[in-house]
Amino acid sequence: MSGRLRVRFGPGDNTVRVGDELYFRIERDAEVSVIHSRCPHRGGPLHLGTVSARGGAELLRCPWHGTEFPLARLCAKGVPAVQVGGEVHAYPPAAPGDSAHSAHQIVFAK
Amino acid sequence: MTISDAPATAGPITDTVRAFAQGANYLPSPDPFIAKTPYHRPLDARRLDAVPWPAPLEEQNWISDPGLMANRLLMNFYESGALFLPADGLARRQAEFEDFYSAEALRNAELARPEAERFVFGFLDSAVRLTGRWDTDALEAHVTAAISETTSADRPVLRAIEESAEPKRAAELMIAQMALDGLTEATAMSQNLGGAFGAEQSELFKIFIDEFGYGVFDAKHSTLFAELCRSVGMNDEPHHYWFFYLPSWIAGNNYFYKVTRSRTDFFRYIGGMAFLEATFAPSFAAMTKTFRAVYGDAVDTRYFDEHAHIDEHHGRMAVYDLLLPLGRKHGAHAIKEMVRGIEEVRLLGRLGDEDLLAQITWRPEAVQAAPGGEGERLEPGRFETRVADRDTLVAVESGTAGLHWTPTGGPLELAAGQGVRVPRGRLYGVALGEGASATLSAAPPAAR
Repeated sequence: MSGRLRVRFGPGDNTVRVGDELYFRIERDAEVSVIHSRCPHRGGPLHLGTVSARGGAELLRCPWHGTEFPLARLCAKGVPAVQVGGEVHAYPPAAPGDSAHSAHQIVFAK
Repeated sequence: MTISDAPATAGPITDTVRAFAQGANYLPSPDPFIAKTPYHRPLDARRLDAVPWPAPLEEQNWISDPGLMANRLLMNFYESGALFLPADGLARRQAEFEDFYSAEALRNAELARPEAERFVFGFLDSAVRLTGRWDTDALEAHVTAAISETTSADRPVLRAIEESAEPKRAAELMIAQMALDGLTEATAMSQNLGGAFGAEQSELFKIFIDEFGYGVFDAKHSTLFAELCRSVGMNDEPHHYWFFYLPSWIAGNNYFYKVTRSRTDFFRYIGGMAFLEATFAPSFAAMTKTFRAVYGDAVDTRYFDEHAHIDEHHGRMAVYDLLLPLGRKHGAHAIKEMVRGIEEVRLLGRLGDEDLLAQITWRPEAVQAAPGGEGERLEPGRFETRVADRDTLVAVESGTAGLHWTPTGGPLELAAGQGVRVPRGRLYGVALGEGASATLSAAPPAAR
């Protein structure tokens, strides 16, 4: 069995929850990436972080301890996602029995 | 207007395309059907000249006359890399044969092909986007979902054929589209048989030899397709129905030539091919039902039946012995390319179904029509089909003319003072009677 779950981001969906994990979408140049909202430092909610530009690169700052990550790198390491027209499907890791739920969260990381 | 004084509106390949299209095999035909030669594939040089090559088609204008012309051109480029011989021998076709495969034609085709491919397929780069770090688990989850969604989807084209007022006309329009691949089946696949790429090369070859009937001509899939054609009274020569291919269906066929011709597109090809093989079995089973409903016992459905059976195996082989092992072996880039191939083929398939459905459900009707004063006057003595880039009025000024929109079932006969409104996006051709004249112009708003 596949260790990944297919989840659809509908037009109004900015986040999706799989098990206990939250994933959020972010769009750059019409390209949608799906990022795991868990800071690798201490698990902070990255979707509540802020994006700023510095030195020609965009950085996402975790709201808990201020750790910053190049946004391009987060997107490159993001959840596998495919976008056709307005439809976005992503494949976050999932444990057996997990299900996915669309969520409408406050997202600051845009 | 002659070719030489046509406006040069396009980009750097214009001259190369013009030189290619002036070859004898691409000159106009007086008839709606091509007979006894696999080489004669008319290309309207003036319309080709007007193709805006540097501005690739977008999804919104993909079904268009420039799209039709570019796809016809590309098909000739690709197929000049495959061997065609006339069924009744080469003796009377030697010059056509030499021209079709001449060094100059092949050189021009190679020079113009990349830009022509960008023009037709460039929109796929932005229509399908992949992000994130892909792995084999994600690939498996994606291909499984894509197959499941497709095999359980509605089949509006088949339903439209069965519900058509002229089901045979509708079914034969579909057969003509399928003939693009059916009469040369697995030619694109053959382009990836060479080289050395491990165990997957042998897996691909196993699928290929099924397509070729294990070397038995009567069991070759293209032979079964030819028998399907004959059983319903259709011609079985490649490109007899040249003028009636819809742009989207030529593009679907061209896509597989493109991704098998370019070695760096190999994984994209495997994705698209595996997806199709895995969805074909139920599709072809449904086609058997539809064609039985239309023709009763008269139709030879062995082409459909063979696919309904063997593609159960090919689907499994292509996904589990090719796609996934290639993903495990070659990693993230290969996986993304395979997913891209799946989605590009799904998108092209959807566009092809929409195009065919619209052509099947279009029922042209004769109306009273004054000649369009500023309209384009059709040239007598030559037949062409085109895609209406706007709602178009065909008006017969004098004599009689036949409006063709399907390969069988006969044209709609029009007398002087009559015309037909052709909706945007529909393929049509006008055969002028002796001494007749007709014009094309924008359909007046009230008539739309």
